[in-house]
Amino acid sequence: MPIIINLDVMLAKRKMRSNELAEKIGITTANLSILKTGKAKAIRISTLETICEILECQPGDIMEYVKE
Amino acid sequence: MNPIKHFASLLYFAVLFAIIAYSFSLVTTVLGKFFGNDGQFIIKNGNSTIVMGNKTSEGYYVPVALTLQIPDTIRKNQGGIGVHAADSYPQITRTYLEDNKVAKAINLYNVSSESNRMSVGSDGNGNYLHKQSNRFKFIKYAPKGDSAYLKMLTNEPSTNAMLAIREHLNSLILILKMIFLALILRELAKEIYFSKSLSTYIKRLGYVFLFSQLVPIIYSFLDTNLFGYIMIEPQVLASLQDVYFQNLSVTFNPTLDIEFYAVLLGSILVLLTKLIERGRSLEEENELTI
Repeated sequence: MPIIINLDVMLAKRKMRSNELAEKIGITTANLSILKTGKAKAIRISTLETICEILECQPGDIMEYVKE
Repeated sequence: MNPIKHFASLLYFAVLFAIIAYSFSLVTTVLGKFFGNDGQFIIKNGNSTIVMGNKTSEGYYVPVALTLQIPDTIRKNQGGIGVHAADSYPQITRTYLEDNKVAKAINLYNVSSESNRMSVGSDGNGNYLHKQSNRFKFIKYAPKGDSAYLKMLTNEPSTNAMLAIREHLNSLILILKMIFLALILRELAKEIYFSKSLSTYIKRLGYVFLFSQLVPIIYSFLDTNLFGYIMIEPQVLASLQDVYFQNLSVTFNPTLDIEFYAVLLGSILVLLTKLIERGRSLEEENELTI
């Protein structure tokens, strides 16, 4: 998929663990893993908003478009 | 426990039991042809007798349409024998035959077919037995429910084999239908409504329904080519002192024994899989939306 999820990078920058983020967003770690591995088909605006708020970043910091 | 899950589990085991019972009956029928007494296993237990299988000597079922043909000379009196028709010959139902004693008349008639005229006598039980070296070894009117059938056995092994295959093919199709139904129920009992396997089983069940109605179409062509019209003509017998029965004749035409509800159901099931596929795609999309 040409959309790359850089959530791992942002988590490392903020020194936060996946399960901690999942708990704060209010989703399961399994779902966060789906998002991190790029298997997700869609992301809710509300989820993106919460992630950006917690990680203090912009949506562009989490997602990136790369031409195939 | 979810009532749907409970009900589906119950039906699943009921269908499994039916599959086992029907398979046992099919195996018994096949074994009876080789090891039975005239194709049957007869078990006597005190006063009760259990008979399994069909008589080999009576042959196989062929679906037919019956038509009563009334000579013009007696058409004016047809009201007297319960026939009410204007210009066309009426169809005979089982009730009509029983009510009007025509069944008895049929049993005393001669049998002939379009291609090969023949003389067939009858025994006291209404079974036709061949007198001359001819095509039919045995022929009998055998209605089942509202459908009319002739049970027939010919002197040609290939024709008999073809008729036997139809009977067993119908049984195998029924078992196949029950197997797919059981698999569908098992999936439903797991409470998986939009799975790939459920859609596959429903699609296969639909195709089996459609194929089951293709068999009678193929056989109706074969029956017509093999037997054509079988006419039972009056045989003048001293014992039958009834002028109507001496002049009436009955024609058996091989007919298309097709059930339109099965074609409709098969088509609906195949189309239903499209809905399940769409549901599965939406469910998957929903599950993968974070």
